Amino acid sequence: MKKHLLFAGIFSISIGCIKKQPEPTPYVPEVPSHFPAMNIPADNPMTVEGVALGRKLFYEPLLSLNNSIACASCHQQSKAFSDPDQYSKGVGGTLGNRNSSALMNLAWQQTYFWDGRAVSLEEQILEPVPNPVEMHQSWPKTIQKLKEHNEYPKAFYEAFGTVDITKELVAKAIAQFLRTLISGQSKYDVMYKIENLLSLNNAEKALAQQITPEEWSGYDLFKSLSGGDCFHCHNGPLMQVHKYSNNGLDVIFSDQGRAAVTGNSADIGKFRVPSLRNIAFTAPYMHDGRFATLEEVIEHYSSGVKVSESIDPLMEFAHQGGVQLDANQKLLLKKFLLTLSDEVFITNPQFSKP
Amino acid sequence: MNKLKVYLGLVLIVLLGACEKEPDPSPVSSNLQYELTLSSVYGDQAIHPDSLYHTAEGYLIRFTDIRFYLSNMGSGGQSFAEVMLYDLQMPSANTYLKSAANNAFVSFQTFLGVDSTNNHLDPAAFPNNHPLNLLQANDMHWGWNPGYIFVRLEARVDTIPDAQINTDHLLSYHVGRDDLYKSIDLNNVPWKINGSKASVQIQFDVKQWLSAPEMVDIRNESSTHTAAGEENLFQKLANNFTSSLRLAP
Repeated sequence: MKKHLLFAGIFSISIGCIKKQPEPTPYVPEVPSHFPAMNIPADNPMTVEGVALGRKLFYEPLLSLNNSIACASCHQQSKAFSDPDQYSKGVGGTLGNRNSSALMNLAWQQTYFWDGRAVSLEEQILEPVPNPVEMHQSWPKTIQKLKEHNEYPKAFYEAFGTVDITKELVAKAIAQFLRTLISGQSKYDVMYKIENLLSLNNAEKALAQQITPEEWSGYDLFKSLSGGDCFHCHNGPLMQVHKYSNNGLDVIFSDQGRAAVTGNSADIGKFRVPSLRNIAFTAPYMHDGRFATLEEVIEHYSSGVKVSESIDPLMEFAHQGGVQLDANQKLLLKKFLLTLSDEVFITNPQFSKP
Repeated sequence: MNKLKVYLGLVLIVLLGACEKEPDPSPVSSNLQYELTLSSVYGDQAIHPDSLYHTAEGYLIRFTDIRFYLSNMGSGGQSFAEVMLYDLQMPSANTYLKSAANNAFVSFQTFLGVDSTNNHLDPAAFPNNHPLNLLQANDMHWGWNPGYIFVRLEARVDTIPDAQINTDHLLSYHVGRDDLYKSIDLNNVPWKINGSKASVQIQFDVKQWLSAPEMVDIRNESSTHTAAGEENLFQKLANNFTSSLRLAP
């Protein structure tokens, strides 16, 4: 009998000493009603703890060689998480050769980077840290810094149930945060819903009252086959289609674009079509940031298109330099493009530095 | 004695378990796993993206994009698939599977495009893996109420028969509208049976599409987006489609 009691006592104490695994809280993203369901990878479900950790890491300069640069250095919220510089400055002021993309609605993209070389967000996030023209720090060194930090081991444990921090977990956390960067509350969203006979909530109804006739005319022009003819590549709630396109910027290409990934000469000069959301905030424009203003972009499509072997067949007016808009049409088109601004997105405190 | 009773009881339980009646074997299934693959050809040649083909006019044509929707594929009330999307650039996604009884699909009826109900639904509302979901449809949805592009072809053509290959003539045919939803019958499906699997290929003959029953002048009729003023071309392309689908032998 005494032996039985002793055994039961030891067993109970053992059970009590086994540390309980943390149970992260599921994070439910707020997806606009006119967006498709969000694709979330099965091996990286969104949690409150994971998103919080990812947000902290996004603003963390420890990820760079001299602790001077964070992701947020080149992806600024007020610029819809893009960079107002043509080329972002890495550690020591080194420059890349492409403009930093805006970060929004990333969960609905299928590939990442201008040339689509990353097929998942988690894969994309692994690259900037060791890149010599970006954060220029090895992943082992980065992990060491995080492990020695007085907060990160606990944060990783709460998010992933381990203090064994790896680059994969860093990428997962940041990816969870990036998936929360959803932009879908602009005037354009209201226009899209009206056009597609979708119901408006009260805030959208109020916004609908603010849409001007010129903005509607600009939208018509945007879609018109004899006007801007823009909708082939920029349409729908995401304001982009998934494709790589040569939009007539050059005849000879110093940057091979998608061809550098596929090895297919037919892809020379093609780049991932970006979303036009928040375009008022994301200057400069194009993969190399060559255009400083929306006026320059409109001018390019109006009269500056150059024909090359791989030009997109949908650049149907390339043979005449472009769609040849007059001054009033250019003005209306710009007015419409400004309706893509989502002020809520660029000021949302949930996306700001914690 | 008590211990003996316990042991005997355990032995009895084991024996009873071992003697448990075998479940009735399930009836032999008479279903086949049907596999239907969509493909595109140019006459008797399989189409590969960016390869060159000779047209009847003596041009050289290179296809960069071929996609089309087929809806309500079935036979005698038995549905094979509600919606299918063919994409030249995604060969692995062009095969559709269905389990059904023997002889369920001796013929097919299907329709070019998307029926008028689905054509005006919110593309974001379909499940993410549905061909009509925005993420799958991509730029096959026009982004405004008129809905989906039913058949889409983009190509580059060399219309000058000289020694130089210069495919600078751009073709873009985007055809889609409710009234262009057309019925297509495919009879005597030549299923290849292999055990419990049956497979067949349905080919979209682009050469046929551009030539019969009405000829498409790809030099002078190089673009349509089913817009007003383009009726002659897009009606021709929609009508031609019905006779350009065929069953591979």
